[in-house]
Amino acid sequence: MPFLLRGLNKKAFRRVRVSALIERTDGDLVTAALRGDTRAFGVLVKRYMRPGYLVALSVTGNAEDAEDVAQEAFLVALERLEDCRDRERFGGWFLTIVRNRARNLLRRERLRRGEGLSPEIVSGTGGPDVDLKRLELREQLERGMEGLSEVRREVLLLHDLEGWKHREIAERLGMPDGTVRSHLHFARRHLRGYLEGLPGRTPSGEES
Amino acid sequence: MPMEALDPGASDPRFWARFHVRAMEQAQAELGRRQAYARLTIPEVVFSWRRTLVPTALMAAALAGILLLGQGEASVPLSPLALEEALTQDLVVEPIPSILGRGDELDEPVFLHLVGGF
Repeated sequence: MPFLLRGLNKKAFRRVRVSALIERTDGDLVTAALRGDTRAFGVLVKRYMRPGYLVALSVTGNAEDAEDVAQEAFLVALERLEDCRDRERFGGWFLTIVRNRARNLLRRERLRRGEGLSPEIVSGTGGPDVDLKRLELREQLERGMEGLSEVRREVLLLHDLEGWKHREIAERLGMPDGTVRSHLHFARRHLRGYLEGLPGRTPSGEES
Repeated sequence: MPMEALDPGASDPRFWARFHVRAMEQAQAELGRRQAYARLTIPEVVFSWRRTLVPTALMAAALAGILLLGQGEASVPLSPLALEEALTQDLVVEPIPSILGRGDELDEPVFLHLVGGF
């Protein structure tokens, strides 16, 4: 056995340890995070930062607010980790925290949203024209989603953007599988209809 | 539908890496606190109580001492009284009519008058 280990360097050991951590269940990671295990908490953040952001976006309808809410929710979840009774269902519990914080933010900042702050332009790799088009599309999608209920926005984003399966969404949001499918169907239909009605857009919502 | 436009990582490839770093920075203090608690041993926990436990015990002992001393000064020694004195002290006594020495002249109604006031 020692001659096998001699060939492996420290980096390889670390890669094996990290990949083993990524494969662990939510329950194992939460148990480790309760003891202050930084790596385990890091995996939880990586696993739920996108869904957390999307759920926050579905409530606030604003990218900047969604980012702030999702960031704060991780700290709140860590501070109240003992309250997560079923550690294997950390995902659903965490998304509930995100949702509640997003709603609280909405209540506090209704006036600010009413004044309509202009979004900042994010510089990407495609040049200024691509950035503007992407920003415009984002605004159109956000406006289209305003006509949806909060739960339908959430289902649409978690399925179409995050790639969650119907069963995963049903479990995390605490609703039947059929209800998830129904919400998704209506959300897509509404958004498609909204985008089709915009000038310069094809029936699939693509730019003509 | 072009939903990817809603993903901030689509226009900024380093967005999610920065998000992760910021979240972990904010969590550092809480993670450190949890690590410290996880390392504590029983003697360390008991020793950590010294700051509150010892002064509290001293104060309780001082208070008990003050109370006991106060009780000792206030007590007055009681003098034992004879039973008769205790029974008759402060009583207003009238002489009982001496009826035992009289003979048959004392009939019932007179007896009742003299003794019972009837």
